[in-house]
Amino acid sequence: MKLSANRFYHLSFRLELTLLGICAAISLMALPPTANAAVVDSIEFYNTKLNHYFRTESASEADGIDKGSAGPDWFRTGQNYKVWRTAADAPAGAYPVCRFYSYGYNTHFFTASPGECKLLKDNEVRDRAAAIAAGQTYSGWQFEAIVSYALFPVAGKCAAGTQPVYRNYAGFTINHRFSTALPVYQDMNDQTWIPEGANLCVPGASSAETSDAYRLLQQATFGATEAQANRIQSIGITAWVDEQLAMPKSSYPQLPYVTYISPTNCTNDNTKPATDPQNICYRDNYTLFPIQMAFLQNALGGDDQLRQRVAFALAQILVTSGVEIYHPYGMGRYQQIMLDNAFGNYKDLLAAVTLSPAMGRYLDMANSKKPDIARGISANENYGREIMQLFSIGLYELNLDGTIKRDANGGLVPSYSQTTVENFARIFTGWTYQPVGGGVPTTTNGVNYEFPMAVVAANHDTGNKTLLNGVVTTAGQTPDKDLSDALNNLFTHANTAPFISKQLIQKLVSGDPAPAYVARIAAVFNDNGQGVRGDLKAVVRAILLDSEARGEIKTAATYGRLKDPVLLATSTLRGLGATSDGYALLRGGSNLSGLGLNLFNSPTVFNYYSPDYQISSGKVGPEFGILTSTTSFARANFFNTYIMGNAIAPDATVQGGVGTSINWAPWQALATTPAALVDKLSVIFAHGALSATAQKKIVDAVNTVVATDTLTRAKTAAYLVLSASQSQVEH
Amino acid sequence: MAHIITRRRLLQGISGAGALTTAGTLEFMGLSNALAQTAPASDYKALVCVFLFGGNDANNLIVPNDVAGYNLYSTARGGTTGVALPQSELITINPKSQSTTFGFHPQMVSLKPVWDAGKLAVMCNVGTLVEPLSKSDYSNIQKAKPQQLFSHADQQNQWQAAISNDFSRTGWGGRLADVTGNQNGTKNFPMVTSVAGSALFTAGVTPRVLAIPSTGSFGLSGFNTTAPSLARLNALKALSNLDSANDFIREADDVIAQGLGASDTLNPIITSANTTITPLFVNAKTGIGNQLQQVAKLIEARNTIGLKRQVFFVSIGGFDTHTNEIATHNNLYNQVAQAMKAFYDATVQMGVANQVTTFTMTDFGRTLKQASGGGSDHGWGNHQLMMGGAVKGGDFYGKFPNQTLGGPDDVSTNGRFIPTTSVDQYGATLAKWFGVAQSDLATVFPNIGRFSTSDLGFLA
Repeated sequence: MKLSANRFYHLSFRLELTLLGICAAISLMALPPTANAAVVDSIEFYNTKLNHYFRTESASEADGIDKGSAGPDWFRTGQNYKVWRTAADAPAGAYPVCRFYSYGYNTHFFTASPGECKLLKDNEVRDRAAAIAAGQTYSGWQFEAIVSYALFPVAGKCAAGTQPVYRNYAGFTINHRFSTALPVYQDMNDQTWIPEGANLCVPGASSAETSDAYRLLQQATFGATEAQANRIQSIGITAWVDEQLAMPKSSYPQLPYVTYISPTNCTNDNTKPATDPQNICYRDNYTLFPIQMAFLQNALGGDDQLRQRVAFALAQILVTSGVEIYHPYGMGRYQQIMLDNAFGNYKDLLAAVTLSPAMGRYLDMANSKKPDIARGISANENYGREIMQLFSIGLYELNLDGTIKRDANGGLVPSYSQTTVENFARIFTGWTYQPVGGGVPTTTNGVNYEFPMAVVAANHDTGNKTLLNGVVTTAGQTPDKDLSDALNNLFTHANTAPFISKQLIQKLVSGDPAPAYVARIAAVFNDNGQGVRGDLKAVVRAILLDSEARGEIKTAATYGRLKDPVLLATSTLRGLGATSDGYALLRGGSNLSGLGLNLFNSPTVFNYYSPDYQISSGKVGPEFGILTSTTSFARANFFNTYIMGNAIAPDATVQGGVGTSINWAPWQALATTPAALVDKLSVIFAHGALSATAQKKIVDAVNTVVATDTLTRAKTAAYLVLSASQSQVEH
Repeated sequence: MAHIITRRRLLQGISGAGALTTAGTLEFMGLSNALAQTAPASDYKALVCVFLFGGNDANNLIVPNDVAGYNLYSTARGGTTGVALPQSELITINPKSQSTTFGFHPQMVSLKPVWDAGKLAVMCNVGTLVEPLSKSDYSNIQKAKPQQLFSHADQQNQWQAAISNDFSRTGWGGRLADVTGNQNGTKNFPMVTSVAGSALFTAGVTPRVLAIPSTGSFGLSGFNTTAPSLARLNALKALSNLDSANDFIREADDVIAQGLGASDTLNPIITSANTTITPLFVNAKTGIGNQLQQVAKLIEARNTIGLKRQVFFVSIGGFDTHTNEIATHNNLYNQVAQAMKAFYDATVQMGVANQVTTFTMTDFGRTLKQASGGGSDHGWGNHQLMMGGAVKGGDFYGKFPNQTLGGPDDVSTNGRFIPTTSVDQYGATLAKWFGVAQSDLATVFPNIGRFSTSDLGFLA
């Protein structure tokens, strides 16, 4: 408080004297008595000509301003908060808030600091006398009244049941703005009003706590809902995360084995309607449709949101794709591995992925045999390369914090060589699909995704293999021992913890995390506190509870992540309270593919976008890899379909289908007060971080719809809130 | 830290001739001063990059057709029970500069007339290099070599960046637009267009690539002229024009703002049914065919768009043929050849064949030796195609590698060939034709000075 008060003493009066003529000053009015209530609204006004903010705790003063008593340019901003009106209403230890006015500055100042209040009062006595003696009008600070009572933060925090008041100051307009809303504080910061922090505590639930609850839901679920936010606020952040970690898991349908080539009565036939049994047979057995549907239904309605979210993140690191693995019984089993191991150990996950027939087919480990010198055939290098490059250690030597090590000349240090790839390729020889029905293979088999791969020892390279960090396997080992040695070699490599931890942070919290954040999580990956490496449950917990994930306001220019298309779609439907069977998101006119992400059909093993994709500022924002002018239109048009459009009827080919529809009634109930409607949408879809300026533009647009058409009002508000980049970027 | 509203929107809708980001270097500052003084080009030119994602095995695109050459090839590939093409199926070609005959993959049949017309050429054994490299240099630790050879993502990026000794966040197509944007005068329209989403190739220091869809419309749906609808549209536009202290929010805003700026011009062009080039693509109704058709539509509307220089990017994936290579190639080469032929015919019909040059790029070559499973593994040097009226075609450029496994051009024993021409040289030849000033060449290709020539001579 001292700093800003001092600033006032240095100001010249010249500018402000000219302003006096323009506006009728609020201070000319006497402060009327206040209704007898324990807490009252502090009502904010804004003067468009002066660029000044003003607050009053008196309803009748506010009425007068509405009627023009202070001039025509004052408008309510809607940014009100509760205050204690009297000392008796306030808790013990509250301080009176003094209100001052200056003709010279034509502005008000509020302070709860007893010292500051006394100083300004004393100055007034001294300077008023001097002015009178000199025959001048006193124009400095004059005390008006004690307008409310407030607490001070203790050690930077407001007590339970109270919330901080943030303050910005603009020297160019000699005005402070007070607000409990973080977006307002951030917005003023963007407009170069100096952020002066939280200096007062007033009654009410902290918008910061609400905001953080919703932010957690953006990070840990497929879309925030009010019910889950209430749950977090009721049991606390940590308890909620632990509750999610213990939640029973959802699953994919375990479809039976089908022949690789579809039988003739189960083929895609464009001449027949989609409802033809032959076409449905093909769709349900030879496309990923049933698995995509199961994924969406779990994401939209399942309780184990965090497990699913982590599984989806892992599936984008350990990628297989329907481009090649298009049999749903294969992809379903592969995605089940992600769900099963999401809170398990990364080593077990890596082992399950390595022997999964889907990965075996996708990266050609299945049926790769030892080198055949006579026929000039090498062991297939595909899996040997990608398990290092993408699934464990990455290309270059890393520090614990995920940054790349540089050699003495500033060069990169490759973490493996072509020779390493060839050695790992020989490790992975001999494995094949189990025979149909399961069992021990005796020769290389055709594709069977039903069971993990098994080995034909005769096809395995028995030579020794030079792995990483100088490890050499013993010649003549069993294929299983070779495999276990190789996976252990990768799992214990110093790169694996930062390489995997950073990507999980990027997919849950923030695209360009601070190295220190990566280092904290990588340390947990290396040791969960009980000497266990690779404990994903501990890693996920640490990611979400880290100070960089949690807290009140995020001011780093690189904080957050663009919602990927799946999250964009599911969070829209969950947040609006939609009912959906997921069909429209896959096969409707506005679907996930159009948004740039054909679910489980990544174009390559490198996922839909690179974890290193840089936006134009040079910062890393992976999901921006698929945001183009085309897909940004597709996003807006997605909202047009699902929000502005009508309910989508169930498709005739989906058994028990419910289509996709939104119950607008609760939103329509808010539509008579557009500001309240927009504010609520902002809380759910942007954890309340939609700036006041953005909210105002949306409210103005909503107000062009006649008040009686509450449906169009609700839809207009939802369309604009969701289209705003401030909602599309989790931040 | 506070941000000021007025600092935003420098990039919005502005092509190569536009303003600078904070990332602009002094080098580019100098460039921008020069721009104001340069007159726009009088003629139209376009470069079209066709990227074959996955690492095309051009060992089977271009095959030696003399007895000794074919036998060497066939043996390395495990014969026709391996991944060698039967010699009888090859389409024989006689490159002017070669003493022996070669064969195209049989699915290249639709492009054979373009070769015969002298408008299609082959660049032999081109690849990522930091400096010229011999086999003995390869094992010399003192010699600079590309980072992470044989890795998809890195080699894709290096082909697209034409920088192999460090990370780059710009590509050579984008940098080319940076330095040639002046040839578009003051025209405020994105100079680089991708019909295949984001790609490093298209990223410059200043211009943001405009990505358009390969089919369908390019714009917002669901608006009409009622007051509430207009208010909603105006609010949407206003929301994309707010400042934010958050980089990600600004980026998302800039992307849609650029689309909004271009939509009114482009949407009528790409949705028009009244185009003369559509019938030419009757045999190219594929992803790559649709993409090249969009490029042709934009070129057809070049006077409406008003640009004199344009860079296009299209792509097709699926070339990572570790297994099942023969069948995969039959499918993919057919798509590529049909699409490129249709596109070439379109440029002829529009009278701009001499002003449009199309060229291929891909991650890397592949091992000549077959891999377990009927495919090939990741390699290095590779052959590329250049097509257009300005191409001095019917010929090979560069040096066809010695296909002996473990031979003088092989850095392994599996047929991973050291490139004898660099990506930088390949790109610089295209860039020179496009109109880059000699003084700007090193801005686009920072390592070009390390190679003997910056013009390989395949363009007239």
